[in-house]
Amino acid sequence: MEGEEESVLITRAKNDPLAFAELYDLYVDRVYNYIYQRTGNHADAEDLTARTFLKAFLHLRSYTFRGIPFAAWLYRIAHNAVANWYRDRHRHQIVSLDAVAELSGDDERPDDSTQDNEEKKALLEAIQRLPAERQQLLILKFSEELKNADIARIMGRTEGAIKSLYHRTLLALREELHRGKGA
Amino acid sequence: MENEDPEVLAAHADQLNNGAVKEIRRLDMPDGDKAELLCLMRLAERVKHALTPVNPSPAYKQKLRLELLQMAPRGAGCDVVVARPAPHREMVIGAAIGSAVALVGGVAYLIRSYMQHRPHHPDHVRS
Repeated sequence: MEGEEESVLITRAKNDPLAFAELYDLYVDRVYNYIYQRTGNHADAEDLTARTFLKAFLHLRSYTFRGIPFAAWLYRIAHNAVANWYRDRHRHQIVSLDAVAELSGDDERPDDSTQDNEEKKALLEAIQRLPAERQQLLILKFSEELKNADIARIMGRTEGAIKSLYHRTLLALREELHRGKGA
Repeated sequence: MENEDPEVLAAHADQLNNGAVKEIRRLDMPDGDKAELLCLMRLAERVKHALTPVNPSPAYKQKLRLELLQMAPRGAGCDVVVARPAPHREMVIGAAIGSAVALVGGVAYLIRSYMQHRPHHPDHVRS
């Protein structure tokens, strides 16, 4: 969505809270996916998605477009919600078995499928051991398919810094995978 | 050459998202550097494959939408009301018992102190 169209929607939602539903429809899938990838299960993803939109709804009046798109604002709220969730409950991320099972659904070769699932599980576990901002980067890049410029706005960095962080993240992930195999 | 790695990897990630990955063989770099980059690219492809997008259920989306719309008449500027869980009955009773025990202990201590320090009146003293 173009910035101008989005700006019109936000203005409408500020004046007419019922119009917030349009913003919700636009972004609920993306926010949910982001949170699901961070938490690894549907129940918590549902809870935190609800909290994210509730907070956005209640604080919409304080949002002003200053180069930060509405989506970036929502992602920040979602990111903070996930961070608080971990801090408050001292939870550890878990690899969703649902996600692993969903992956195997299309594979007709059971042996290969089992091996693929094992590899995917190990990879997801390694991703979840990375610092939060690196997980965020990988999810925004590959699951949300955002451009570096958009990721930079969400994470409050320059585009160049995002590219460097991505490089370092892949190196760290490779290290984590090796560590996981050695354990 | 290493400084180019982030640029090459970022371009590769964009290609992954667009579904068209070009061959890296054309890159003009030593074989060792190219092998390192290829290794990271293969890893990025696995990450892309693992982080398959997940959508919420239609029922959930509808329910949350409805809840937000029900809040709408109250306005977006209303205060956030954080629902705190009501204290458990057992905790209240426990706290009351704890307070009572502390009170009784305090009174007992005062009485004991008073008894120890009060003036003695020996029987043999006669007025």
